[in-house]
Amino acid sequence: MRQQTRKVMADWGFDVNADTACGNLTVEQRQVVEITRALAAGTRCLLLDEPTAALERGAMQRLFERIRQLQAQGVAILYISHHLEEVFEICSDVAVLRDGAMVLTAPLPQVTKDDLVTAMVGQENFSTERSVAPAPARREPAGATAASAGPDLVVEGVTFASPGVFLGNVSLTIHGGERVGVTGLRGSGATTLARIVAGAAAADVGQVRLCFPGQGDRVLRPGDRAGALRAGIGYIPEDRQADGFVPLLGAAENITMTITDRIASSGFVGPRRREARAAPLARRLSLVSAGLGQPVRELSGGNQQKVTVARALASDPVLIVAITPTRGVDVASKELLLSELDRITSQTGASLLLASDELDDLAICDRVVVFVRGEIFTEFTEPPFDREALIAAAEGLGAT
Amino acid sequence: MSETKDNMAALAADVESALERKRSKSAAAISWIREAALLPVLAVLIVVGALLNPHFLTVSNFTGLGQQISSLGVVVVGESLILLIGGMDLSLESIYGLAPMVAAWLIVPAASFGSGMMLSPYLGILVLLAVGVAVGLVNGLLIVKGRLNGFIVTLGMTILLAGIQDGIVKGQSPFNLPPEFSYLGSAYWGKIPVSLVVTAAIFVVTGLFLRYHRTGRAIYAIGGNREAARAAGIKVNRVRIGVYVAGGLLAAIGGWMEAGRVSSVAASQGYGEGIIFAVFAAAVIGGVSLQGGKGNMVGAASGVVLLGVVQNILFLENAPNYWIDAIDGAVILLALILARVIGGEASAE
Repeated sequence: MRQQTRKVMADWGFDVNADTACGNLTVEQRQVVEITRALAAGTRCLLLDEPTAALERGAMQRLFERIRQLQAQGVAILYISHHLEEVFEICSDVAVLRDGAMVLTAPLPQVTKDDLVTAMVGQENFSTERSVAPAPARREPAGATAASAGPDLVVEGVTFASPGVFLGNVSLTIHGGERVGVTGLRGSGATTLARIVAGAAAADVGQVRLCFPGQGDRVLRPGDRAGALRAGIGYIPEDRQADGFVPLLGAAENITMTITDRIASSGFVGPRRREARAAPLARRLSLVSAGLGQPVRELSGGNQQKVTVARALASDPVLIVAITPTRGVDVASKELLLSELDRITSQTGASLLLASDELDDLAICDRVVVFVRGEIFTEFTEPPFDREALIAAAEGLGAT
Repeated sequence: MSETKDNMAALAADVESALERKRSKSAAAISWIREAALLPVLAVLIVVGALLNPHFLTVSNFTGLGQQISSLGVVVVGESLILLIGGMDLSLESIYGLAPMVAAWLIVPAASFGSGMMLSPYLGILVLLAVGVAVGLVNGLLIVKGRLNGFIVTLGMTILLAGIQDGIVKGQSPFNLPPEFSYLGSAYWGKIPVSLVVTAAIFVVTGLFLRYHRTGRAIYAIGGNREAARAAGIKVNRVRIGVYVAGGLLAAIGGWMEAGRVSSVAASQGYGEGIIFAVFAAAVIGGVSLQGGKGNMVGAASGVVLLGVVQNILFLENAPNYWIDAIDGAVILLALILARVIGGEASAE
């Protein structure tokens, strides 16, 4: 059994001890365990719900190969995904559900990508062009306008090691108002760097500090999320289920969780004041809920993510750290979240550190830094960014 | 184009949320019914008690009952707080015994099984509170900073403390407590026991604190999803340690009431009587979740009253001694099932 496990995991490109508890695996490895478990049982019908959400490209291709094999063997496959490319790649028929109703069913060769998007969003005039480069008007570079006189973020010599992730002596500066994307394959350290800046992880060596123009530096204590928040760093975590929101509490309470110190008078705060503070953000992000008191557990994935984003924005941050802010949300919410992040950073002059491997996310950045195996591999400073070049760089190929 | 789309989306969201608000009003009514789920059960019990025994519906019975459930009630508040942050503390029952024991031992003369130090009763009260705080702090540090399992830490702690409680008085029960020390547990204001007033006040203050204070809200956030609370900048460890300290303090106050009520500290007070089971039963019957993040003081209080009324009826009916525990257990199970059936799956608070 162990041998078989080893072999299966090796097929997927992981060197994993078969006795490792699943809790100690990375998200991606766990996903593979889940998928292989489902495949192992000699299934006649296989249901895959967003199976690629945590997979990097190589693993995704391996999954598709297996799916095609199964298809050839006569297994029925129900594949649920937000990613249209995946649908076109491996599905033969498609059905679109919107607001609890089946709005489109058709064999795939008969529909185009635009048809699908239209059906998903429900508006004829929705343009797919926008989703490629959502930034409406390019903002002036940092320093050119008075509004963007925020602090610089300086990361200096950060080193971090844990099973599966390694960062070696990374230094990076984000100027006030600048929007920087960090990307790379899983385990490249891009996400970990973002977590360290947000105070959600502690670097072993190195320093993270905010340099306020004319006011001196503020060195952040490693792993002190509360301190980072007070210094003005908003944080959109990678896995919203794990640390994005408290499922039993209401939307308003989750959104205002980062600012209870500001809205409470001598420590006390009532639901009305919370909702008054949360309402503008909820409206701006088009949050759909049964009132702002509705437990976030009952909201859809896209709306849960909006709550997570609103929570980060509520504290009027000078720097927003966002990790895969649009993962697993529907097309319309994704568009909205990105344009809102773009708008807020433009309006308030806040800087952005965005860790993602999706080009759509990175498109709102002024600069993209690519990580390979824990080090900065290269940098793209000229938007729009080229998908092929980014992918090649992430794989560690062909500098610049 | 994109602006019209945004406006449309915003409009749709507005309409939708207006509709939902209507729905959520009726949902709020339902949640209020669930919150008061135990009240009908309580009403039935009171009718049953009145029919069974003419002494049940008397002022003296109710004041006595109020005094009896007060000490348990304070401990239930402490345990509920700890359950709400997703913890569990078995040692509260031993704090409930040890804290008044140490105080009594320091206060009463050697002839009443004291240490002979004859400490002033007021200093004794301070010592009692300090014992509660100290044990809570040690628990909190071991569990939060030491990352030890709360169940095992407090299990070890409860046995250790009960041993100390026995050890310092060599198994005796100090008695003849001075009136200053006994006041809280035994005095009456008019016909109302002081302990009942104090316990009710503790329930109300804690309830309001949990509902409206930012630290109270942080307790729900931590119990509901500790990592999300941390990512939102809540000082999770500080709040958790604080809650263990509050739990220890409240357990000490509960033990103080009990000692005053019977005017002595039995060597078996707390651990020896196994009150932690009644504490957990009251909290859980009252809807406080063992998984954390869910429950409130209205529920916890009704759980305490329910258990107290049942025991009172059994006592008045002279239920056979050998069967009291069995009946007690059956009632707890029944109340749990009822609370579950009526309450369904409640949300936070």
